[in-house]
Amino acid sequence: MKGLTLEIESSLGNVSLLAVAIHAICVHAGLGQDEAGQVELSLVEAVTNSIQHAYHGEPNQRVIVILAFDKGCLRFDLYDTGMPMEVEQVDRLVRGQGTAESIYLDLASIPESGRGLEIIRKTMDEIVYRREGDRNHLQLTRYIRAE
Amino acid sequence: MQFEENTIKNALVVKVLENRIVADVAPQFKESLIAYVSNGNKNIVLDLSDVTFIDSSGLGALIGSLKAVGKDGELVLCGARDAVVNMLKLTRMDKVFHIFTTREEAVSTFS
Repeated sequence: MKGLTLEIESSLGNVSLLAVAIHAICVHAGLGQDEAGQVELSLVEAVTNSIQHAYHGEPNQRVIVILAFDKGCLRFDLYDTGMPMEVEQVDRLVRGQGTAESIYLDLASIPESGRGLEIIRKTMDEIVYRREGDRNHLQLTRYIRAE
Repeated sequence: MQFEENTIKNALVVKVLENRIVADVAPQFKESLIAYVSNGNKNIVLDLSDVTFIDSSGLGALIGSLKAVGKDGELVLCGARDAVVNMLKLTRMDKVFHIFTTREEAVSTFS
């Protein structure tokens, strides 16, 4: 597999730098623009979660993304050393629990936040979360399908 | 955040002059849109033609702004690129927002 490592400090202002690099690599690896956009979105949500929830916005921490790809898939290994993901969040992300399709009866009932995990789950083909010692390891895989 | 404002007929057209509406700018984005509502604008067209990417934080800001408009007014979208439309569809928010291809079509809804 080909691959590279990207690393940013835990500032939301750095997420877009990471995102545009990932989008370009996805296209290079064989994804179409829409698919690359989905993967970019998924990685933005995951890295933003690391900064906002694992690190609680604390600056000068590290978020690492190790990217690998071959003809069949793109794999992203994300690492941070922030707080572990709560069990309920892991269930939502990995098993899709608590994310049943909602029917909104009125505008007031539509939540303004909490869609990040659902977006990752809908756009990636494989999702694995592990707490490894003092770090979080989220592995996201997207298959590269033949046109 | 930067916006370009035009009044066309009885609608305020607000063009977003940013490429990415993401977590670091979403609070300011929402604050700016709600300020338009607070200043008495009830018919607002949000022109997203310069926006190439939006994440869930940006989407949340849009939803919050739509709520701020309330039942006495309307906030509609126009010019959304594929990445933005795909995000709205992925989260089923394409059923919540009125989305128009051009600003002319969007403005005509208020005639």
